[in-house]
Amino acid sequence: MRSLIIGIPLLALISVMQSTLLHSVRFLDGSVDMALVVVLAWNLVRREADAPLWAFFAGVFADALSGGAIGAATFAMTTISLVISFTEGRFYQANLPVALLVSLVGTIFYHLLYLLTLSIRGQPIQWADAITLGILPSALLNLILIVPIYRIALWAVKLLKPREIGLLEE
Amino acid sequence: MRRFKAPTTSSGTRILYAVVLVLIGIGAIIVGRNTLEPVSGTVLIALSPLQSGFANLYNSISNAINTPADLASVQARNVELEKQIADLTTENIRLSESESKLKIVSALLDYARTNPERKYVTADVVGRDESRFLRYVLLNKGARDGINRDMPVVTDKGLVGLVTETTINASKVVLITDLSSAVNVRLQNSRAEGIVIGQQSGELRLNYISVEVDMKQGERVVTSGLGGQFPQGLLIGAVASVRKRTFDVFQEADVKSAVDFNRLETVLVIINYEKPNIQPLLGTPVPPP
Repeated sequence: MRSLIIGIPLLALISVMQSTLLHSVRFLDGSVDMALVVVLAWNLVRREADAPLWAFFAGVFADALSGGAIGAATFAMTTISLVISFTEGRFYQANLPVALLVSLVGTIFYHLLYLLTLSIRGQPIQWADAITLGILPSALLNLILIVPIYRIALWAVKLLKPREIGLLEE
Repeated sequence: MRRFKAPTTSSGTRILYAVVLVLIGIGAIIVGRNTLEPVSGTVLIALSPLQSGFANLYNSISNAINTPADLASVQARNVELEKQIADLTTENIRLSESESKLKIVSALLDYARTNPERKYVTADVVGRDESRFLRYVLLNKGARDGINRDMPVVTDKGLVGLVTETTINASKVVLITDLSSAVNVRLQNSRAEGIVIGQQSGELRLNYISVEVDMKQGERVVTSGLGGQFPQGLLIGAVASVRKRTFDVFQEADVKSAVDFNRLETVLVIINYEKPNIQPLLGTPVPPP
């Protein structure tokens, strides 16, 4: 849980950056989802109970800075985290292609879930435009972003992980 | 030597955490923004100062890159001077930023003078919606400055949107380009009335104009005041292209917005506009002739 001491301020900072600086990094109508990519990478490498909490706080900050239905981002983020929780094993922790795949599928799944929630709450959505101009370009941008963030997450998780202790047997 | 691994959380615990958090998310969706406004408002208040800082940084960089064309000669001279005195670069950017800001405020002031019956509060745009599917902006002023829900937001160029949520020191504004936005409008020449609706792409589309109306490219579109959401006569933009089919009842048109929503820095909130309460009248039965 101590990762949250860094995680909460970091995610707050990323969310603010997302709505100011990163908003202008665009490809068609899509832009990078820094908070989502950080959550995906962290959930992939960190096999602890605090990983879903990172997703939760990222969602709370996104909801607070958005005009959409409250809880939509929180729900989508935590659902992604839940899905990743079902994957097990060290294979995922040291495999960049898997991270790329998770980024691609995770981004598409997150946005579809988010839009579906908005739609249920009465926000009109033009699905064809949203998918072709928004979701797919974002998925491509996130695919690039996951590479450095995944590496940083791997490095950070090693820092946080307690060392294995060796004992001499009599 | 035997090795002892540090204890880790079981996947079951992690999944349990995730399930509980997903349920909290679903709960928040069901309860809705109005009930949870104190919670989201508190988070927004906490993030506002950070956001203002980043917005200023972004605007400084953006203005340094996109200096207005009429300053081209000044800029050229600055470039020459910058080569000689590198220390002046920072100062130059700061002055350029102040000048851009002054121009915006001066234009807004001129606009405010032309409409003396309205009271305005000037606010800076400090953030945009996290989601690219929604078109909201965040302002650095809120209830403390007299801003309330449903107040129209404008610039000297035209209508921007409507305040949807306020905290003590921040406000959320839904732009007229948002998909949920529908503004009753009037064509300035033909006087025909229609509705301008935001598009996913951020463009504006004019609907419900009869095919019999002669709508021309470049014709100005202003708010009609119908429904009472916005005051009459606020400029929306101009007709860019018309799509008309003789077998349709209505024609539609793309509207080029007068406001550049991608470069929105400072806006005016009309704080003394009273939305007429037409709700009780809507249910009144019409007496028989």
